[in-house]
Amino acid sequence: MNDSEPRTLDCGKTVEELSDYLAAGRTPFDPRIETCPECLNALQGLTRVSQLFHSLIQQDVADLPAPRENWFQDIMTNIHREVRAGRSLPLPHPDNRVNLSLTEGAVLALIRTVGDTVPGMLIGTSHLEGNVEELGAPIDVSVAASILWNQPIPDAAHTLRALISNALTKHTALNITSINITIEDLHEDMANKDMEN
Amino acid sequence: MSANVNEDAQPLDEDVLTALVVAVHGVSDVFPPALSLAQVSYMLTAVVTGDPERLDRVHVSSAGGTTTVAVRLGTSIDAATPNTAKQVADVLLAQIPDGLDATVTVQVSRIA
Repeated sequence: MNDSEPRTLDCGKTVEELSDYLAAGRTPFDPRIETCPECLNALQGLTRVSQLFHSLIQQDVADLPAPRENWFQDIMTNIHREVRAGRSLPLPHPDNRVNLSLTEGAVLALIRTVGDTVPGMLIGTSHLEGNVEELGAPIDVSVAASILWNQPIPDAAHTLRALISNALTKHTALNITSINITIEDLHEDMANKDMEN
Repeated sequence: MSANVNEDAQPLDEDVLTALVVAVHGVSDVFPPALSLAQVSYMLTAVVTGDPERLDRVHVSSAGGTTTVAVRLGTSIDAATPNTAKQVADVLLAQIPDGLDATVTVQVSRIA
């Protein structure tokens, strides 16, 4: 996908439309967006990116390392990929008349949510590797993240791994065999994020 | 199971089922299961009235003698999602009349 192609969710909305809706203060009220879980997951991710973007453009970045080219674009693309419903992750129930499931998109959005609570950390991409549609199948989780340039990477990675492990244990029935974290970017200070935390 | 039993059974009321699901601890949202032709009228009404509750509800459908009760949920990050989903399914199962050939589908699409 190149930067000019619209990123369309399963519901038909594009990430660009959602970004415009967010910029307009979520008005006028659009029930198609506000009742769609994929749109709401995307809005949550876009809000986080928007906060980061505004904190960066308000700073004098001359003395700080610049973000990698297309960094924001990559994150936007990943939000689009992640919020799609994706695969269906089964949840157990003893009655065979019942079909319980959790969407892959909900889990990836959850990983982004908990990851963004780590001070200085911003989740780039996350993947569930393995047959998530089969209960008990071994699943590897891979996460790529960006971190504030002066934060200790081992500590942040350890905290992120623990938070993801706890969240997946609490909210899914996945058999997680590994959580692999890659720090692939350093970024500048994020005043807004520090204020949130 | 006989056809007579199904005919005598009380119809499953979507509004009642939705109210029961919303009351389950850990449920934060109820979304439409999926956009289908049957939901277009709900969608148009919701757009015109600005009332999303026209869409956010449990859906009951029948085909081939089988009734399907389906709901798509948002769950609270503070409650364990598998437990919340199971409780929702149990609530819906309890509303299915004896003898009615029915299945319950619960999909969690958002945890926040």
